[in-house]
Amino acid sequence: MRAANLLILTLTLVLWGTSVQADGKERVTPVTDPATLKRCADCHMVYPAEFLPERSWRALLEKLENHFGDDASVPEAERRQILAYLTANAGDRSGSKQLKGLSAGVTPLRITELPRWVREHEKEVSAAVWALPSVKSRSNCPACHVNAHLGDFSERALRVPSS
Amino acid sequence: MAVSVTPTRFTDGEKVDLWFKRNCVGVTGRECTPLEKGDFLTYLLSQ
Repeated sequence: MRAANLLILTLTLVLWGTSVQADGKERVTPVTDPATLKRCADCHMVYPAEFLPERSWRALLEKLENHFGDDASVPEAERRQILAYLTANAGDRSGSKQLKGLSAGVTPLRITELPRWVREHEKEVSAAVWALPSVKSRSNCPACHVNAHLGDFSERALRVPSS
Repeated sequence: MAVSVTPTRFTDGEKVDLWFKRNCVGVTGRECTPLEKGDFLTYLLSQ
């Protein structure tokens, strides 16, 4: 009886440990820099720095006057602070697996251009889901990743809307 | 947008300037003149 209890306890701990570990693979560090939080959140979800390489953040921050068709300019001092934060924490700095398969010669401007992002989404998410009013855009991570703001992109925190 | 709904809407001058620039450029392709900004604010202050 005692041995059986011990076995169950051990198994529980091992399985729990495994799930936490597996979950941990889809966790990224959410943005902490105040300027980045304030300015980026004016218009969209504040994407984690590791979702793009340093060269991409540089390219984006160099032309905020035309940010995917919108003027997203910010005061110069803050632009520099945001650039410093995002480049220091960029995916290629931390060796993030989010950039897996990305060629060194390519500078993606959209997270949705990353080979790994495409692999994770294109087959799993149907055209009907992408077209939902609550989703609308591929840039709308929180539409399904309900804890995206916490850096949690795990399956466990995934709620794909049906309508 | 109306001040009667959000009294603090236009109290942060830096924010007002920033959004005038963003939205004027976005909508008209250029920055707004002081007269245009004044017209806009006058209208929203009266709402």
